[in-house]
Amino acid sequence: MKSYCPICFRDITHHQNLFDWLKKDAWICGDCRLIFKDVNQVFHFHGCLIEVLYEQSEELDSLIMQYQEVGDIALRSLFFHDYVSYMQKHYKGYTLVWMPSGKVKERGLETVKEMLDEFSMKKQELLECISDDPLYMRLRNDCGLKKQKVLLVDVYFHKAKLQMAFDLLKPHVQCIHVVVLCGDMKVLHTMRLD
Amino acid sequence: MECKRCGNQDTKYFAYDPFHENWYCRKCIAFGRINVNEPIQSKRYQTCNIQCHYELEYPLTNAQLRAMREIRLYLDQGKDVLVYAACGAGKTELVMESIMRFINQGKKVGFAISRRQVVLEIKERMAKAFPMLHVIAVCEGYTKETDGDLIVCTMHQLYRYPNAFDLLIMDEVDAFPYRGNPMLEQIAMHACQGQKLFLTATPDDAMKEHIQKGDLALVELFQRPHGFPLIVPQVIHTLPLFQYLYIVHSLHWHKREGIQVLLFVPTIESAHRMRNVLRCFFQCAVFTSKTVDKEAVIADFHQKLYDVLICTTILERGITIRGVHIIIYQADHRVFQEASLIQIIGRVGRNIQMPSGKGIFLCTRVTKDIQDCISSLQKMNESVENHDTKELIV
Ligand SMILES: [Zn+2]
Ligand SMILES: [Zn+2]
Repeated sequence: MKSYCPICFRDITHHQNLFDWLKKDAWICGDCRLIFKDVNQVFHFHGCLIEVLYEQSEELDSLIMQYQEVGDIALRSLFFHDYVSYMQKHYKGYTLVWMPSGKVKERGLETVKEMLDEFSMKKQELLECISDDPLYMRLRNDCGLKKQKVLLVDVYFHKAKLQMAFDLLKPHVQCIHVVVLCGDMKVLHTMRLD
Repeated sequence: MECKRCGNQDTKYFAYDPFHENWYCRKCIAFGRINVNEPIQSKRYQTCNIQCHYELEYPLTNAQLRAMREIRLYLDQGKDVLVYAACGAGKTELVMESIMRFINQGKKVGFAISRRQVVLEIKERMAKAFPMLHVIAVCEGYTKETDGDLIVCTMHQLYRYPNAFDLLIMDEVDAFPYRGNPMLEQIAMHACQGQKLFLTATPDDAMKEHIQKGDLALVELFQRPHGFPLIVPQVIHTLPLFQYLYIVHSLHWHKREGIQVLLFVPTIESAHRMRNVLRCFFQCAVFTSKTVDKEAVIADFHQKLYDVLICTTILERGITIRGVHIIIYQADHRVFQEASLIQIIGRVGRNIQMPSGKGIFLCTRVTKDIQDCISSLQKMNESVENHDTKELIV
């Protein structure tokens, strides 16, 4: 375990709360911990359940931007870190699928996919973008869908993108659950049913 | 491994990128990603071929003219220059001649300052002095346009200009966040491919060393344009409660005389506490780094809508408010270092109509910083007197 915070490089014990300190598995410092505000609520969208992990905020946005746009790939496994064991348990038997990006060529990596590298769940590359507009996506030819249960992961709650992915996947799978890293609470509460 | 941009060599800041098979520096990632061993790309900005000249509201004084001639002399010799000038001595006016000469030679000139607030003010002054030039400000909130005939920016924004400037003027090099920040210093050095001109009211030891070694030429200017000496503050030491009473009492007097007061406090919390007390008696506002509409608060204070502006050290620089007096509450607090104190007292007496003024330091004990501030000011005043007599003899 590193002794410094991978976000701000201060000592990992900096402003650390007692609970995390006692658990001895703190992986970011107490200040950076505040960037991740748990929401952990489930919403309904077009007959699917969407789980939102964190509240969208300026700080989290800029961290995501630092990873996706600036290319600070050292941050990749940090975003879902706290939820790895929870998701693996809760979504046992699901196939992990990520929302494709239209910028793979430019960035040199599929950013959402790489965020999930700590997960040992079964992963499958089902969707791909066919232009730099992320809404132009399609099923991959070689995807080999077998009516399985799919856990679709994205960074933001993006209605049009989810809708598109649902339309493509639904005829071929048993069910779809969605996990998004963060969402704007104002938008989400207008559609909250759970 | 070393980062060519920020000079970092500490391995904890380097990360390996398996997708591109290279290492990159995370210390300066805020300025965009740069890979290890990736050379800094020079970015040439357009140079203008306008012949420019500048216009001043007031003619330069003899002391300013002398300093200006010295700066020209050293720059012509290809040296970097440090202008050590008292607050309010007119540093900005001094460098206009250098700006003009470099631009007229088709060279690129940049003016970098630590604080965003001051960037906007200097930009206005430059635009007024050089009406024929397209002067732009580049700082947080103003980054759409990044090239102009003359670029005024924060130190942070210098990362946009690798090797861009033939003359880079850096103001407030003694201030946060530039002072003691090797990363910003590296970025600033990379922005300049030509000569550097530093401006400060409190040079640090590293600069003094460069002057001794001879790689930096020194030009001093302590006299203010109106010729009046610098204000030396009055130090009153008493307990915080009595400091409060003193403030209320003295604000009453100032209000009667129609003089506005800048009241400096050490922290944001103490600013709000102070406001809660003072608003029972006076029109007051708070100005801290958390203030949302900074420009509006300053404008209202200029309009004399407030008797007193309660502020933290954020307002210690660059702001010129005519005829204000200043009071520092808890001047013995550690945020008030010598450089800060000199800047704060420099807010007083900047106006020809009101060349004198009052500065009061309230404290429970007299710190070394307070003592050093007072002796520096006295030294500057003495050296002005010596200079004047010398000029008379010659
Ligand atoms: Zn941290
Ligand atoms: Zn670096």
